[in-house]
Formats: sequence, structure tokens, C-alpha cells
Amino acid sequence: MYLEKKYKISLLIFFSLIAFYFFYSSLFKEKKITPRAMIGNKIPNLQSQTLFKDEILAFSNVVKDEKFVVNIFASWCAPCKIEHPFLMELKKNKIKIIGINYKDNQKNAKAFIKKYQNPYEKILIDENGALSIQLGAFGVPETFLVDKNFIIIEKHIGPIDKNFIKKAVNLK
Amino acid sequence: MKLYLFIIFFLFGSVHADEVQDRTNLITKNLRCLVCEGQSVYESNSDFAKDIKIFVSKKIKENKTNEDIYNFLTSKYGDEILFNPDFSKKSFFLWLAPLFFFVIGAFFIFRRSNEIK
Amino acid sequence: MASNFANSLLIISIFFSFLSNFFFFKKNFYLSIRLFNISSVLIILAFLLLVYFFYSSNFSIAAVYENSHTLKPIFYKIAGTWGNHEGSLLLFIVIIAIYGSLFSFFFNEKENTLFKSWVIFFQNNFFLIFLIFLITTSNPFDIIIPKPTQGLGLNPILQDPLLVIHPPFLYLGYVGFSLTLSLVLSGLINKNLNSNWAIISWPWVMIAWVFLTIGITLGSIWAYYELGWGGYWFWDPVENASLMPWLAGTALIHSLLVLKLKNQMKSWTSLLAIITFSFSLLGTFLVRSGILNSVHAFANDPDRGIFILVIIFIITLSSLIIHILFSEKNRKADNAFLSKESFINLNNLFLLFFLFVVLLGTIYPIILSAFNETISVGPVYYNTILAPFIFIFLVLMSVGPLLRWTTKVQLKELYKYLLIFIFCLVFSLIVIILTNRNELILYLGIASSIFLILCLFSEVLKSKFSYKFFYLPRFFSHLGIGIFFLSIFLNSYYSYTKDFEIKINEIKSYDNLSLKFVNQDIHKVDNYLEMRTKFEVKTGNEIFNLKPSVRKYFQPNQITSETSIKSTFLSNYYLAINFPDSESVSLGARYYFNYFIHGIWLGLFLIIVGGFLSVFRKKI
Repeated sequence: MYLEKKYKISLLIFFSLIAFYFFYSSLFKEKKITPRAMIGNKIPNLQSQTLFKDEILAFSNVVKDEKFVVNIFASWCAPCKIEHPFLMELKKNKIKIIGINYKDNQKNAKAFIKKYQNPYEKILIDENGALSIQLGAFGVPETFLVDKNFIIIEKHIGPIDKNFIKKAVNLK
Repeated sequence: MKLYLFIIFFLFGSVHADEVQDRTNLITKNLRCLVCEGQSVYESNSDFAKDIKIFVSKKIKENKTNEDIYNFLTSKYGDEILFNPDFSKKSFFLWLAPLFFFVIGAFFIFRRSNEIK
Repeated sequence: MASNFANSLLIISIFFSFLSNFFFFKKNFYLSIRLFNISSVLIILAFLLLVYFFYSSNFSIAAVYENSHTLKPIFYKIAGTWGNHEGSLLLFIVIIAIYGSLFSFFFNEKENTLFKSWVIFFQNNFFLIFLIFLITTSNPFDIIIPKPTQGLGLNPILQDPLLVIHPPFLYLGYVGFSLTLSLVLSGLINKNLNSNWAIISWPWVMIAWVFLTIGITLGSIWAYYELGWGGYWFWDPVENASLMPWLAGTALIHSLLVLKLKNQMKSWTSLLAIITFSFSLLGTFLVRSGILNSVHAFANDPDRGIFILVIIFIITLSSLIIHILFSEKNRKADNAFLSKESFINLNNLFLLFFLFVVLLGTIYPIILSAFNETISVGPVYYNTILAPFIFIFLVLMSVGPLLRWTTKVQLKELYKYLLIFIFCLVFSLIVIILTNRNELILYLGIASSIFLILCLFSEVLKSKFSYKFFYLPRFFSHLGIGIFFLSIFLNSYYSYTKDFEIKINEIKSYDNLSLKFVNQDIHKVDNYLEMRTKFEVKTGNEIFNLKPSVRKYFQPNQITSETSIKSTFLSNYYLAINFPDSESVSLGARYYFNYFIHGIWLGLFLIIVGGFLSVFRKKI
């Protein structure tokens, strides 16, 4: 296949532009692998012992036919302190939050709540991370916005922000 | 007699524990640690990796198959938790393209043309 | 202020670089070369100044503040200079400058001044483009006001002698290919890309290749001895980023050899030179732009990424256009299929194939993300696809050098090697059976690598040990490859790992192995807290102690695992521990028996020796 030089060059430039565009656009895609796998799926109806009372509760015991938020936290987690005011604001907006206390010492967890106020309707204990895996979570803090049909609408990794609150408030 | 039975069960138990560990290792080597920079769950010591290792061990003891475990984890975390691409719609290009490359490359290099390049 | 002085050095350097271009266009070649060299000296001074800032812990400089700490030992303070994005980029530029100036110093053929000045012209512009990038986005001399009293510290994983020298060697390698490209482009434009050109370029290309090989080897050795994962190669994107230019570079030196001896493969040579340097740049892009996840990833900054991307495209595109415009119309050579030239073509095919596989595996996640899909490409992909081709490659590599130039070899000369081949197949079968294995890959791997090794030795015997310098570099390098692959297969299949949790004074027993956790204590050293342990290991007929430890660094807060290794002649016993959870009294540990690991290092060493020996060869 013999190509004249100028055709070779134009072909080259054409493919280069495609390659350039491809690398360029992928630079701006979200870099961190944020598993989107659970969004749109039903949240599992997890149950565990609660932190403050000696009882075992499931999500369905805490919320009935209403939207809610699930927040994974721990007393040893620094960003959890940062997002705390935002959780309080959710509570002010009458949105129920179920806390999942991840791999924590119960005494420390209780002290943490007492110190910073309690935004949670109920707190379930996740002693060894098993509950978090059921949620497809991989760290703290991590927060889920769930609608009244138990469908996960949004998953936020890291401390929540105003955007999340807006989404939560606006959800029917 | 009871002691004898107990010893037998104990020995089986230890052998079994070894097998569980081996199988856990096998599976976790094929899982990507999602909070690390490229390590497998097997290699990592992050909280996430530890949780997954415990989870996998538990499922093995519950007699779940490898496929069950992989399916469960990919449903929660997406395909990217699998470290190695299997042969699926997503990855067939990955597996086939090199072969095409080789064949086409060989063709270009070894064509016996008399054209002046 | 010191940093003002440093900044002015950078700016004056850029100025002289522009001047060099100016006088080049005015055809004042003598001056343009001199100006480039001045630029060069200035940038070297700037770099030395940066080293001094790190050495003296001058925290008014942002790069020093972000990457160093007064508690750091001196050696690592200095190494901090290139342990960060800005500093390493400056080192990158310094090396472009050094290669250019060294070439300018050593190449003095008066009749070739035009050629020489074109080489310096290109080298100068590579230099300039990266220096502009540095000054505008990644200036290592940016100041912090007010001056902090303490730095943020260097990543403890980087506090290791091997890792300190690994980046400089890597850069001397793949940045060195910048000069190769300059030589090629100059040769194309001056229409003298021929065997004389190849003789001139040979040492410069080989030096870059040798340094790159050393750099990759050091990284691998460091990963094995320091990371505690028991492995030496993980198909990590940044490892791949250095392997790709190496593969292209290896194809390049073989094509260069043909050009030198037979005045053929000009197109291959120039194309491969472009590919090699482009992949060096692509590697730089992948590491620094944050487009991939990796243990190594430096500056995760999309804006810098764009800039580098543009640089890569400008350089690659213009080089390819020059190649298309100036490549000589070459009559296709009439070589027999069973000839050396033909097999070097095959060699290029295979090496480019390997390059393609590594490239595809590395960027496939990026490709899929454009379609909003995710995937991980792990070692199984690379190992599966590459293995069958490696066996064939090793065999071709054994046979190729036995052929003649241009003409078809007499088949009867090859019968002896057929016998050796059969011997290898049988030998490998015996090994497999005696060691109770059944894996095909192991079988073929042993057979093909031993075949390579035996063919080499039979060549030596045939030449009756007469000192033919020509063969020596190839002998060592190819022998190195044979030993390397043999060791990889043996190590891969005959090693084993044991994971366990253990309490103090407890003994873990396995088949032919027992480990006892004897004692532990805690020390404070320099900038970390260390928990040292002692284990008594009994395996086979040996009894010995292993002393792995974990370190908790203060600044930044990080935990590393220090492995403990006992070496035998061929292999390693290797133990790593984890930092215990505060709640449990037992320690997590991982024990490896790494079989034949020393063969891997020996193989790599021989490859380097072979390459090094050929750098200074003048004769054919």
C-alpha cells in the first residue's frame, strides 16, 4: 500500500486528534474508583444491635414508608467530625438518619455522640465491617440517600456537603 | 473414645482451616483493594481489605462457591473489584486486539512486495 | 534572596535557549551550540541549588516544605530533591541538558557541524519545552511566606537507599532517549541516516538503554526487598510505563545494529527512536497526571496533565511528520527468510507486540471509562497473553544469531541445534515429573529458556573460545535473558506463601516448616517508632532466625513493614509482619519461600553487563 506523503500526514494528524481528545477527556473524569454499583438498587434491610439500647433493630424497624439516610461513621474517624454539622442539618430538616458505627469501641462511640450531639434516629453496631460490605461501602464516612421504597438514590463517599443535603431535602 | 474422636475432629478442623486460608488467599488475590493504589485485597492491610478478607473467609465456611462470592462482591462494588478481567463483552477487545495486532504486524513486515517503499 | 537567584537562573537559562534557536535560524551554528551549553550549565547550577535547599532544610521553598523534615537523615534530605514532582521534573530537564552537552563535547567532527548543530537544535527544543512547562506550572523554587519552621516530611516508603538512586537511573535511561531522537531527526533532515550515522549514535543509544535497564532493575529489587509483598513485578501502571520504552528501546538497538552493519532498516530505526522517546514521555504523563491509580502516582493534577499531553503530541507528531517527509525511499531488501535481518524483523514484531499488550493493559481502564464502564487489568492478563509468545520468542532468539546475514543459512548447520532443542524438551519433562508438577507453562518455560542458554554456550564452544569481541555483549545480554526467564518460571511455580496470625511464644507448624514467635520489643529511632520481632524458623534441615519489624512514622503518619530475609545461594526465606490491631494480642504475618529469586537478579545483571560492554565498542 503506497500512500503519498501528504495522505500519510493527514491520516496521522487525524488519528492524533482522536487520541488526544481521548486522553484529554479521560483526564477530567473522576479519578477515584467510586463504586456506583449500588445506586438504583434496593438497600439491604440490615439489622444489628443498637448502640444505646440493648435491642436488635433492622432498617425497617426504624423507618416506615419515608425517605431516609444511612451514615457510616466511627469515633476514630476525623472527617466524621467535619461532616457532623451537616448531619445535624439533615436532622433539622426532619430526615431520619440511621447511623452505622463501623469497627468502633462502644464506649468511645457513645462518648463521641454525647460530645457532638446525636443526629441519628438509631445507631446500628457494625463490629467487624460486615454490614458495610453489604452496603458496598469501603470506608468512613460514607452516606446513602434512600427513598421510601428502599432504593438507593445517592451514595456519598467522604464527608457530606450542602449538595447532598439539597438532594436529600428535594427527594420526594 | 471421646478423646480419640475429639482429636480426629480437631485435626480435620486444622486441615480445613488451612484450606479455608488457601482459598481465601486465592480469591483475595483476585480482588482489587479499592482504597489502595493498585494492591490486591490479599496484599493490602487497609480496613477495607481486612473486612473483605474476613467476609470471604466467612462465605467459604458457609460453603459458598468462588463464583457466588465474586458475584456478590461485584454486585456491591462493580466489576472493578475483580483484579483480573475475565472474558466478557467488556473485555473481549482487551483479549483479542493483541492477536489482531500480531497478525497484522506480521503481514506488514513480511509481505513480499517488490514495491519501492 | 536565594530563591530569587534560583528563579533568575531558570529564566536566564530559558533566554539563552531561545537565543540558541535564534542563532540556529541565522545559521550561526557555532554560536547556537555554545548558547545551548550555557543554558545547560545554568540549569545544572539551578538543580544544585535546589539540592542545597533540601540539604539545608530551607522551608521557605515550597517543595522543601512539602517534602522534607529536619529529622530526616542527611542522605534522604538530599534525595528529597527528586522525590517530588517539581524536583524530579527539574532533574528530567537537567538530564536532557547533560546528554546534549556531552554529545556536543564529545562529537567534534568538523565536517559534520551541520549535523551536530541540528542535533543540538532538537535537543535544545526538548529542553526548552520542558523548562517552560516547569516555570509555568511546577516551579520547584516557589516560596512560602511566612517561612514555616518545620516541613511536612518525606514519605517513609521513599526512605531507602535503593529508591534514592532508582529515579536518577530511570531518567538517565528514558530521558536519554531524547538525544537518540535528536540524532535521528538530524539524520533524517540531513539525509545521512546511514551506517556512519549508526556508528556515531551507537554509544549514546546504548548508554540510555543500559541506564533504563538499571533503573527498572533497581525498582524491582527495591519492591522485592522493601515493600514486603514477596514479589518483584506487579504490572503496576508506573512499572509498565518504564517497561514500554524499554521494549521499544530494545527493538531500536537491534535495528540500529543492522543499520550499522548493513546500512539497512533505516525506517525501522527512525520509527523506533520516535516510539521509544514517545513512550518515555507517555510514561511521564501517566505517572504525573493522575489518570491512573498507582502506588507511585506523583502529582495528581489534571492541569499539569493537559500540558504534558500537549507536549507529547507536539513532539511525537512533529517527529512523525519529519519521518514521513524525509525518510529515504528504500528499496525493500531481498533477504532470505532464514537470515539474520529477517529474524531481527521478527524480533521487532515480537517486542512491539509485547509493547502493545502492556500498553493496552495499562490504558484499557481509561478506554472503558470513556464508556462509563470500569475494569481492572491485573497480572493474570499480562501473564496469560504474553506466556505463549515468550516461549516462541526465546526460541527465535536462540536461533536468530546462528543464521547468516542476508543469505539463507545452510540447514545442515542447524541440525545440531535441533538436537539441543529435543534435549531441552526431554530435560524439562524430566524436571517436571521429578518435582511432581503438571503445568504446561512451566514445562515450556523451562524448555525454551534452557534452549537459549545452551545455544549460547554451544556457540562459545564452536568459536573455540577465540576472543571475538563482537559476540561478548550479545553473549552476556542474551544469557542474562535466558537466566532471567528460567528463574521467573521456577520462582513462579516453586515458591510458596503462608499467612498466619501468631501470639508470642506460639508455634505455627506446616508441612516441613515451623515458625515460632520468640520475642518482640519497641524502639524509637530518628523519625519513627519500631516494633522489632524475632521468629525462629525451622524448614527442611535448616534452623535460623528472622527479624521482621513494623515502623510507625511520625511525619507523615504512616506505617511500613520491614521484611526480614534469609538468603541461600539460589533462594530466599522471607517474613513480613503487620502492625497489630490495638485490640488483639496476635500479630498477622506472611512467610514466603521465594525459590530461585537470585537467578532473576543475576539475569538482570548480565543483561546490563552485556549492554555496558557494547557501549564503547568501536569495531564491528
